[in-house]
Amino acid sequence: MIPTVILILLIAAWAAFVIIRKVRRARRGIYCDCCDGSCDCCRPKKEKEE
Amino acid sequence: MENNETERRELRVAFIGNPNCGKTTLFNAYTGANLKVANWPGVTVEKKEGSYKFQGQEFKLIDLPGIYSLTSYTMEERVSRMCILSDEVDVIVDVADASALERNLYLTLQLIELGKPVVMALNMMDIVEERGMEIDLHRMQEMLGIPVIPVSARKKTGLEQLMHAVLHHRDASARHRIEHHHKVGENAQLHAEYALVYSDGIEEEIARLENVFEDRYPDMTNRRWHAIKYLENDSDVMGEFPVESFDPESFESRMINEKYDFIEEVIAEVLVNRDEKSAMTDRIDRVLTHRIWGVPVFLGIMALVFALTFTVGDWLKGYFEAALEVFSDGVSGLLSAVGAGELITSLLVDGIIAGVGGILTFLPNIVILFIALAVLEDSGYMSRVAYVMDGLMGKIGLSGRAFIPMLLGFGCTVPAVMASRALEDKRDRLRTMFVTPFMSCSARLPVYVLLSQMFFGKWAGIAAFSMYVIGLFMAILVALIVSKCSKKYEEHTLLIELPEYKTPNPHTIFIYVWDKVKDYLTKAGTTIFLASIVLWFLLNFNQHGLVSDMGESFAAGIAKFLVPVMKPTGLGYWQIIVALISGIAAKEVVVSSMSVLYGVANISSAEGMAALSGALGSVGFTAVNAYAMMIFVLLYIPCVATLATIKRESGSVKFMLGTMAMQLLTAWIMSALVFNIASLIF
Repeated sequence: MIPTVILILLIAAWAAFVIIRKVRRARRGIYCDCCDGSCDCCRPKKEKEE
Repeated sequence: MENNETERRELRVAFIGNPNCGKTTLFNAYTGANLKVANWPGVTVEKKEGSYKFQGQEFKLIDLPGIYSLTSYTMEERVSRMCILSDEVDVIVDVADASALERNLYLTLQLIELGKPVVMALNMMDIVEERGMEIDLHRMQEMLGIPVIPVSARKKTGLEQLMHAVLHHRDASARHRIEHHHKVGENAQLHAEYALVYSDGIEEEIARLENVFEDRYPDMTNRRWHAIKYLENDSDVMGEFPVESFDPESFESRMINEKYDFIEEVIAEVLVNRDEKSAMTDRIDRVLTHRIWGVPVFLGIMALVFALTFTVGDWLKGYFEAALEVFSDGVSGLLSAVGAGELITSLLVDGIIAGVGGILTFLPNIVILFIALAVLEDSGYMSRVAYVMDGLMGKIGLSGRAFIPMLLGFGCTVPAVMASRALEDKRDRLRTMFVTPFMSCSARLPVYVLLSQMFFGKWAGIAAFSMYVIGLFMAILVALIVSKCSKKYEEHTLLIELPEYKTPNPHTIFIYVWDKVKDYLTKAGTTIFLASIVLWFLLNFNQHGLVSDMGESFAAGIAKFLVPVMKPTGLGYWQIIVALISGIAAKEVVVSSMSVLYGVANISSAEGMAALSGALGSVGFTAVNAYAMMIFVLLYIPCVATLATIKRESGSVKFMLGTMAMQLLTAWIMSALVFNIASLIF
């Protein structure tokens, strides 16, 4: 029972992390998994000019 | 002025130069992580700013777009010119490729004419040395009247000397003594003041205009530059400073020729052991950019790439499969030993490990593909491909530059769609975004590898390669149809640099491939991981709870509705439909799904493939169905990341939905055609 619960919690935690990461990145305009937003393939939203 | 200069806390330096001269590498060498990326107001041209400190002086560095000249034909040129002329820039660093001096000096001369302080950073000096050439820097400084600092952005040499020169030449009046050896005409005094002095007739016109400007626009700075631009028929200058009484004949082509004459003079004097444009490059280009043979050669090279992907990649894949099998058995054993429940074991082993692990075994094929693409890119060949395809692009109503984003689509559709930003015309951008998803991205490769190896034996490589050819063909066909339906078509010219061929740098290739491997692993651990869990759930549960037969699950219920629709395409199997639907998350998930759907742990192993082809064969799924499925995967809806990018770049949900609908329809029609025709033949 305990190993099952631990495994379920671990899987759920990782899945939650992945979902939150995706949502936060999507809000910044990054839709792919690969980059941190500074590469050519996807960039964060345009910054306003000062 | 000098007091103001010294008092200013921040010195603003703009980096400008031709594309591929190493400007951004040099800029990054100074700024490192201290940079901000944005867009110039109102345009899609990128603006990079960074900070740097040297000898107690703060610098604000601006990386301007790569341009060949300072006319105002393109958005990049206009943006660069506006920036340099404004108060935003105190000193210009002209980054020039020392190995292609002739081409780079044109911009240099235009920058010098601007009248602002210019320092030349002569980059890629290491390549010059490799070719046995030498550049007389001292003479070059005398002829151009500006400091010339040798640097190597890649090796990070000369960086401090460059900033030292910038710091000490920020006053425009502090110029180098100019010394020419050519004959001077009537305007001898000008030769002491300006690097480039035009012929007497042109100089007279310049002087005349300068007098007019002095009367008309007394606040104008750098009247000479404005006069030069006026004579070149520069619309921006003529619009801003109209001179009604003055109707000049355009001296543009004469002035361009005289600039190039001067450049020849500089090259003749400063370049020692001058390397006439590499004969080797010319010989190779005669074949690779041949009017007729260029395209077949490109297809042949891509065929070779895929042959390598299948042979070398498969050999390495065997080791990954073995490792996965060991891992899967190990986890299964461990879970059993600790008394973990059946459900959690099923989720972990049949869901996550089968799904994610199945994808990871294709890593060798992906690595080989990207190594090949990196070699082609770094050698200089990819520029030739864009050039070769330019003529074809033009015939189908696309700008020649549209093939460059399409080419990126062989790697990933997301950056390919992003790259369509380089096209200035909005219609071109939308058309390119519309067809780019047809270019088969690397995420689809596992699907092709799996199906072709299962059903096509020794023809597996050809079957997979044909997907890339079909994708290219469909992109061209759809573009042609769209262009015929469009009312207006404008001709575009392609200006593209063809760098000299060089031996690919192993370090560059390693960095490129390692980035792709990291992307792949990240995707496996995130999107594919999530998709595997969702899929496992949908396949093992229905409204009543856990099911013993997947055919009664949620996923099966949804998919069975679509079976009659997909039957004409040869894909009327609920399991295949579930796999295709799951591929919208990421194309690799099609393979993961099949692994989960058919309960095959190590799907890419010989045993796994035998089990899967047995399961498929028992329901009448043959090689013809497999080929139809490959075509469907090639052409149908792109992944979520691509859809989101299309929506953002086009600014329209309607356009994104239209792209989805068009692709789904195309996939259905083509799969149905191929399936039905092939079924008659085989």
